[in-house]
This record gives sequence, C-alpha cells and structure tokens, in this order.
Amino acid sequence: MTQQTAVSRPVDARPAWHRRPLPRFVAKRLAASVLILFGITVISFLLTQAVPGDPALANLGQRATPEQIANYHRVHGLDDPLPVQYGRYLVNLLHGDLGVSQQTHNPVMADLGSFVPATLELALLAVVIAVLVGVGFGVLAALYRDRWPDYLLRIVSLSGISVPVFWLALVLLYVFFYLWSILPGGSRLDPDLVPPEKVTGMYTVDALLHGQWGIFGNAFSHLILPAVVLAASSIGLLTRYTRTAVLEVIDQDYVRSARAQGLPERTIVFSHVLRAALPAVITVIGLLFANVLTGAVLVENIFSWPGLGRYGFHAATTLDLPAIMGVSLFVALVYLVVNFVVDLLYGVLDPRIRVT
Amino acid sequence: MFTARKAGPPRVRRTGIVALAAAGALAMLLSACTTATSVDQISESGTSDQSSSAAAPATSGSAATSDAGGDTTSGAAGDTKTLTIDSSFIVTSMDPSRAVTPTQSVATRAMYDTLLRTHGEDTTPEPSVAKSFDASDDAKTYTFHLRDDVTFADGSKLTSADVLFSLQRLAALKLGGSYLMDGLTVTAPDPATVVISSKDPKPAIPIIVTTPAFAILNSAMVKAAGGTDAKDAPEKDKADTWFNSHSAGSGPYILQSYKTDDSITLVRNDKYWGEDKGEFDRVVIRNMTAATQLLNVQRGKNEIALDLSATQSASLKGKDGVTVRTDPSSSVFRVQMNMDPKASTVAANPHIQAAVRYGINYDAIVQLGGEGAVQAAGIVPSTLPGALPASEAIHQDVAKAKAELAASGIDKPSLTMTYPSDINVNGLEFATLAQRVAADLQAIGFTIKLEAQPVATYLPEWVKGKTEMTLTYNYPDYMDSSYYSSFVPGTSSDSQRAGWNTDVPALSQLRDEINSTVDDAKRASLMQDLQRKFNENSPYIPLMQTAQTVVSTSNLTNVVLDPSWILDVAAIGTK
Repeated sequence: MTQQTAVSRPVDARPAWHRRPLPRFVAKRLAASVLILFGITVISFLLTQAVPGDPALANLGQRATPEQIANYHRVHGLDDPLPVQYGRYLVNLLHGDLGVSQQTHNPVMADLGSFVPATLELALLAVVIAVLVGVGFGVLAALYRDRWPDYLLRIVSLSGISVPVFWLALVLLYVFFYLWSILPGGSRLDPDLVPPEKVTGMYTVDALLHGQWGIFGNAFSHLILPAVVLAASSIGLLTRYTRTAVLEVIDQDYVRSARAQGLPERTIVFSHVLRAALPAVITVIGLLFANVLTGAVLVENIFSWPGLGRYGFHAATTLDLPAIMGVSLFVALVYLVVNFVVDLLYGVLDPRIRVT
Repeated sequence: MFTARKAGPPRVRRTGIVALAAAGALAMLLSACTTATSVDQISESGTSDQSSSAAAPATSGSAATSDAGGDTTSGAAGDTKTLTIDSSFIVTSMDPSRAVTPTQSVATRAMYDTLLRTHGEDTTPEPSVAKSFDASDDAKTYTFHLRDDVTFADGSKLTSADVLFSLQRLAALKLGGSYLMDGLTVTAPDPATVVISSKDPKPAIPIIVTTPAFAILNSAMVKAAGGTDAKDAPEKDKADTWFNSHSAGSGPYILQSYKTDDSITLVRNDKYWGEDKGEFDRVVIRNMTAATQLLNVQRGKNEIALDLSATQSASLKGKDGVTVRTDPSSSVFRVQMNMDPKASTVAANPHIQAAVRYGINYDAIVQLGGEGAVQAAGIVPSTLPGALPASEAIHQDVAKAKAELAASGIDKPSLTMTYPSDINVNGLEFATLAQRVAADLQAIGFTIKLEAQPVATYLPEWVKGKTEMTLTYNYPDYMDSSYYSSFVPGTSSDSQRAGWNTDVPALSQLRDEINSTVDDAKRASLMQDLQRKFNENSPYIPLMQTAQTVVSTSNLTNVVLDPSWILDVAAIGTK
C-alpha cells in the first residue's frame, strides 16, 4: 500500500476573473481601447482646428455675407473657446451623439449607418477574393519554389501591388462595362431598380433576406468590379506573405515526418503546413481588412460607391467637423477591433500561444 | 487525498472556443452597431438612409416604392420609364431655402414651383404660380397675382401664405441664398396676392423670383416638420433633416429618396396642376465622376451626362446613339488683382494692373477652354443682356504691357497668384489656366508664384480681401446683368474681396443708375458702360467664358441647358 502525500500549493488570492487569462486580457484591451479612442478624439479635434479654413465659408459658399458667416459661427458654436467646443463634443459623444453633419444635415451616426454598410459590403467581398486568391497563390508559389510557377506568381503579385488603383479601375470599367457590356459601371444598383428594404444596409444581404433574387444578382454584379480592384493590391501582399510563411514551415521536421509516413500531399499542405503558417497570415488579413474598410476612397470615387471613404473625403474637403470626427473615431474603432480579433484568433489557431 | 478531476475537453480547446466566440461576438457587435444605429436614427428622426418611401404623405407616384416586394428586376411596374441624369454631385441640402447647388437645382426645378419661371435658354420671366405681376414706376414694389388652381403634391391649395412663409424663411435662415432677400419685404394682402417691396429700386425682382432659392414650399408641411420663418430661424428651424426624405412642393415630381452623396430619386406627382407633367415616371440623379459619365452615356438608355469637359465631349462627336449639345455657360473666368496697397503695393499699382491686362495671351486661354469657349470682353457673360460685344474684348499687346511695366516704377515685380485647386468649372482645371497666365506674364518681366489651395482654405483668405492676385470665376445667382453691379467698390462683397473699398463716385453713380433703371434695354446699356470703365481701371481682368456641354442618349428630346436650373426634367421627352 502506498501512502499519498498531499502537496501543498500556494494560495492564489486574486479574484477568480483575474486568475483566468482570457477575461484579464479582454479587460485590459477594453481599458486600453477606451483610452486610445479618447486620444483619437483629442488628436482629431486639434488637427481639424489647425487646418486653415473656415467651415462657414466651406458650407455657405463664396456669396456668404459677413453677417451670415457670423451667424453660422454662432449657431454651430464655432465662436466658443476650443476647450468648450471639445468638452461639448465629448459630453455629446458619451450620450451616443456624434453631432450633425454640416454638409448632409443628418446626424453623423445616421450617416455612418448609411455609408458603413456600403463599404463593409465592398470590403468583405474584396477580402474574400484577396484571401482565396492571395493565399492560394502564396501556397502554390511556396510549393513550386524557384520554379516557373513561383516566378510567375511573384510577378503577378508584384504587379498587383504596383498597379495604380485608379488606373486599374478605369481599365476594368472600360473593358468590362464599355467594350464587353458584361458588368455594370458604377453605383450599387441599376437606376431603374429600387433598393431592398434595409436590414443590414448591404444590398446583397438584404435582397437575399427578402428573397429578391433579381435585386441580389444586380447588386452583386455592381459589386464585382470595385471589389476586384480593391482586392488587387491585397492579393499581391497576401501572396508574398503566405509564400514566406509557408516556406518557413514546409522544411520543418514534422512535415518531413508526415511525408515519410506516406500522408497524402494535400493533407500535409492543408492540415499541417497551412495550419502552422496561418497565424502570420491572419495578422496580415486582419490589417488588410481594416485598410480596405477605411481606405477605399479612390475606388469608391471612381465607381461612385457611396461608402465611408467618399463620405470622409467629402467631409475633409468641406471642413465638416462633426463628420470628420465621426469618421476618425470609426476608423480607430475598426483598427482596435480588428487587432483584438486577430490576437484572439492567434490563440485559437496556435495552441502554443497562451493569452497571459 | 488525490481527487480525480472531472473529465472534459482540454483547457486549450475550451479557451480557443471562448476566444473564437468572443471574436465573433465583437465582430457582430461592430456590424450590429452601424445597422442598429441607422435603424434607430430612422425611427427617431425619419432620416438617415432616406431609402424609405415616406417622401410625400398623400401622393404615391406611379413608380416603385422601396416597400415593393418580390423580384423587381425592372422597377415595380414592368413599364416604369426612368430618366437617369449623371452629375458630379454637389448637394448640401434638399431644402431649397438653405442651399442652391447645380445638382440640387435640377431636382428643385422638378419638385417646386416659383412665382415666375424661365424656359430653357430664354431668361425672360414668364407666368408660373403667379399669372401676372405689376411693377411700380420706381421699381420698388412688385405685386404678383396668383393662380387659383395651383396645388401642392398633398392636394392642398397653394396660397399667398405659402409664398410669404417661403420667402420669409429664406431671409430668416441667413444661409447661402438669403442675401437675395436683402432689402426686400414680402406681404400677402389676400390669399391670391403677394407684394414684394424693396428699400431701393430693384428692377431685377422678376428675375430673382425665378431662381431656385425662391421655390415655394408647402408651409403647413414644413411647419409641421419643425420649420419656421421667425427671426430665430437659424436656431429654431429643424426642418433641414426632414427635407432629406420629403419634398414640400407643387412641381411635377416628388422626392422618393435622397441618398447622401449617391442619388436623388424623384417620382411623378400624379396631382400636378400644370401642363408639363413630364414623360418619365421616375428620374434618378446619380453621382458619377466625369470619366464614368462618359462611359455610361454611351452604354445607357434615357441617360444624360452633365459634367463632361469639352475634350471628353469632343470624343463623342459623330458617335451613334449620343447627342452632344454645347452652349455658352454663364461662367466667366477672370484674374483679379488687389486694389489695397496694404495687401500688396505691387498688385495695387495701376500700371502693374494694366501690364497684366495687356500681357495675357487671351487666344491661348480660350484654346484651353476647348470647343465653345470664347474670350470674355467683360465680366458679364454673353448669356445675359448687358454683355460687351466680342469686338470690345482686350487683346494681348506685349509692347504696351512692357511699357506699363516700366511706367510702374517697380523693378522685377513679383506676384503670388492664388487659385482653388480642387474644383473645376465645366471640366476646366484652374491649374491649367493659372500656368498659362503665369507663363504669359513671366515672358514680359513678371515673377509669378503660383499658390494652389483647396477651396476650404482659399475662400477665407479671398473673402478677407487679402489675396494679392487670384484666378477665380463667377456664375450669376440670377440672370440679370444688374447682379454684377456688386462689383462696384463701396460696401459690396465682390469689390471687398478685391480690396477695392474706396468709393469711386463715377462708378457708384453708374451703379445706382443701373439698379434704378426699369427699362431692360437701357439697364443693359448702362451695364456695358460700367464694364468699359472696369476694363480701363479695375482689379477685374476677364479672361474667358466657358462652354457647357450636355450629352444625352440620342432618343431624348428637349435636353436644353437652363442657365438658372441646369435642366428641366419635365420638359425632356423621347422620340
């Protein structure tokens, strides 16, 4: 008979949630995010004040009289000291009020609710295309390292990064819309169609939810060209990153062992190599999604896509301060959320990584 | 004692599942926030995404609404006729009393009526809501007699109370178009009569009331939406957001939806009182870049492109399926010097101004303007009575320019020419013209520094009257040459922007005479005299009057540019 010896462990006096890594991580990131967002509001506010220009004239036009300009300043509180203006903005923000756009005369929240889904719809398709094509190309390039498929795919990826977005957009419009008439040119829907009733704001999703297959098809066809243009540079980047990440893994011992054990190459590539290479690629995908969501202004302008990029650009050129602040906050929020999601996914994909 | 742990999934996998769930929840929260916000905003203020069919309370129009279910691949009704107008959107508000922009004017013309109206290129006021008007001999009082059969889209009758409310609100809001009401008072002695009185003689009143800012609103609807014509309207008027999803007019169309920076959709007003009911059931004004407009109009149906440049439209000449129409625009480019020595001793020197005036190669400038562009002999465009004939245009005279330069007494004069960099006029970029002017002046001995600025930063400095030299343009807010009397020095904003603040008695007298002359022909003649004096000595150096091109699919008829309203969609038909 063996006697069991009790092993005494030191008592951990921390609260239960603090002892568990994931809740602690989430709490820390949330606190940091609030501070970062606050900092963004301060920086955005100061930068907009530093721009030499008068929102009154930008909104009233060149015929505005001095009395009209003075009245505009008074009504919009532009005569108040800067700390008062900022304080008022912050108090409203805490109540969920981002102010009223001086250009659209809509609440900025409402404008964001209108423009963000349009950009989100575009960004999602662009990222799906970029991931499928870019990761696929990257894996192929790595598998055929230093052979002609590798060289060809690297040239293609470099072209994707190098080609100017506006040029590519115009060329695709000219070829697919003007010459071949197989895809529409510009906007989200044909002018003689009525958009589906709003649920998400994404025409394709809303049309599907309402069973409007014709509208879905038309909206999707309008989505293709701008999404492809938006995906083009991302494909290039993803190809290169994926190739590098796969090459780092493909020569590992366990991969050689898997081959020696006679596993099919497809199983080796997808279950072992790609799985191990994904964490690095996921980071890039996350950042690409954020970039695409917040930086699609050129594509949106060329394809007349009423998204966040165009709204932000218009706000900047007309010194629409509430809209500028609203867009800045949203962009910051997107990057914060994306980085957080990527960090979480890291832990999911790679068991070696612990959230501490 | 050792206690066996309860069996379960490994800790790593549990953590992974929780992490995935947290990531998915956060992503959904972000997406839900934008969607829920827009839904909340719609229910609170009835605005935001404006894709609702809540445009007009009573009239449904004959085209699809966004509540149409099913698979509407060609609109709700299979034979809905849609006119598509592509424009580089400039819309700041759908409230005609708040702002007037070219794109908005097209929609406002279709949705609203004015006391008098113009038709196409003819800027002569004709009866509209007012069947006639009387003018006092001193041009200070204008009495308008209203028709008794005009109704708004909701069926209510248009009376003088609506006109009174609309004009008073325009004045009270103190926004872009409000200055047109300066010095004017409006009264409504009875439901069918409106009297507009002016402090000073104002023979241009019949023209002014034809402009978009004088659109007549359904006062009951606007008041119910929070609109007011009281003196505190700048703070108290809350109808601006309401106008983004509703119209309050009596025109042949009503607003179905306005998507900010994207499109304006109009549907037919079945209760329209007038004769020009419009051939199209639906009109969509879309925001498109000029490059995309060029492609769309060649591929579309019932389509109009408004913003093609002379070069772009030249490429379409002779092509099947499109009609290109080029008309003189009312935009006049000019170089403007500064008359204030405190702003610039160089620019304020009259010999320097003369040297600039005679040093510019006007023929080359006109070539840059493309087909249809002409040299501007004066600041009044040829589309208005009172424009100087082309024979009186100043031509380049290098010898004279150099002589004036030498007479200035300034050795190696240097000037900074500022211009707006992010706008173009009828497809023409300011930078192109600025570089041409600079090259001409440098050839005769000037040093010209070009300073491009975004409009938002250009305007404040220009308005203050501190800009040494600028390249700018003007488009009249109403089609009467008396509009340009504000360029006379004194208290007017246009002369102040040129630093021209000292009263010149001869010019002031001429201005007063122009403004008090009722006879149109005599007024036009006096305006020509004023421009001759400007061409002798003033900060204004007219360069070029541009041309405006409108391209349409060739099945459309009566696509004519209107100087005040750009297009009258109700007048457009098909072959």
